[in-house]
Amino acid sequence: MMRSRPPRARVAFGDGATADLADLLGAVASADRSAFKALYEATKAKLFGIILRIVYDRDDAAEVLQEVYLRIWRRAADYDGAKGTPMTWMITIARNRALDWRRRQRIEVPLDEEPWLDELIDDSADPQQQTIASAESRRLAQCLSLLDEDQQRCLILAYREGMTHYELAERLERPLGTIKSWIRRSLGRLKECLER
Amino acid sequence: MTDNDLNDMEALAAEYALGVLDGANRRRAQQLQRRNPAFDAMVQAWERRLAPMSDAVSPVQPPADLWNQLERDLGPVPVQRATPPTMAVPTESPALLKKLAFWRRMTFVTSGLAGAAVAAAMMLAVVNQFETQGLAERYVAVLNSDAAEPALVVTIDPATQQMTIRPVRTDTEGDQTLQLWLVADETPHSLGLLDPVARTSLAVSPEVERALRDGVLAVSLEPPGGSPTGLPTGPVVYHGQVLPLDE
Repeated sequence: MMRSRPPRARVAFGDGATADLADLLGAVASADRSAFKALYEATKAKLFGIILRIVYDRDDAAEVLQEVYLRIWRRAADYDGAKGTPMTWMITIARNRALDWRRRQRIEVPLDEEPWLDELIDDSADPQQQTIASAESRRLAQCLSLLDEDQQRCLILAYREGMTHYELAERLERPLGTIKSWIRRSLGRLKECLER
Repeated sequence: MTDNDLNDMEALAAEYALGVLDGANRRRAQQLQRRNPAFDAMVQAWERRLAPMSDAVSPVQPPADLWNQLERDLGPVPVQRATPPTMAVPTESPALLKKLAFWRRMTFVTSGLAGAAVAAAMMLAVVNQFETQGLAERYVAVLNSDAAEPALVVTIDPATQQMTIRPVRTDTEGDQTLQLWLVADETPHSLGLLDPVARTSLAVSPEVERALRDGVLAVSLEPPGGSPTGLPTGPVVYHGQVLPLDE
């Protein structure tokens, strides 16, 4: 089944929004349903976008999204502001659920579909749309740009589409061992660059 | 080797956070994350490092009716202290009913080969045990994960009014508990909480035993102490059909 390309519009979660989300999460931790509804409305499209790319199918993505919010509802008290923004915490839950789903279903990625690769790379094109934490985002983009193009593609396809080493080897038509060492080396270089 | 090469443990943490691991390695990393705080800290650091990659993912509106389903899954607004799980008051749970249809299909779907082999071995052990004991009527169920991997083997012995649940391989996080449900007439009834690693024995009343004969058993992940609502609040992780051993 073909999926349609989502619109390019983005939701901004700048510093102001982060503070609001942290307040909402705090209220959700004490089982405040109206806060939960507000949190859901503020974040559902972003999380759905993230899940949809990994699980491919809209109905499946909706089911995963429902699981993700149930988990957010139950685990809100575990959120620790010292360890990252509320959005990072929720995105991690969403990606993990979506990846678990994808691995269970052993989704075959249609080879004729060009994945959405361009967006991080041409981020600089619309500075108004900077999101989670703009400085961190720019820093990561800078560090990624130091990697070879194929290595950048590997990391982005793995993160955004949830592709495994094996799927990447097929997609990029490279031996599995090459892909594994590319990924490991690029993660090492990324860490070094981010800590510089 | 160069200076910026990651050691094996950190490489696994980074690859897990990136999402590139296949199913088996992913589960291994998840188990390690639960057991090893240092590894968990590495995973979290990598999740933060990589999170900005989500910035460029375009938002997409989910189906409009999703909130209503979600709200139903939260259960009724609690007005009193949570009661310990017993036979639940039957109420409608549309999300669960949807899942029930799925379990019923799943029950008859052939398991993965490895899963089937383990299940067959467990069943054989169970049959042997019953044969040595020479009991009359008995029932068994193998509860599988969605990946068709056997997680728990349940035996029901009406003679002693006991149900025994043996874990094969279960997966819980933090302080989550496993709660066993009997789904009869499309309504879940709590049978009790399970030990995720050791054998659990539960008493079975004759009434429950009758309902079990054509029932489906399901296990959900719940907060400590079990579901506060009397209906499953967490995801259903294992399920299986109860079958008479003699047929």
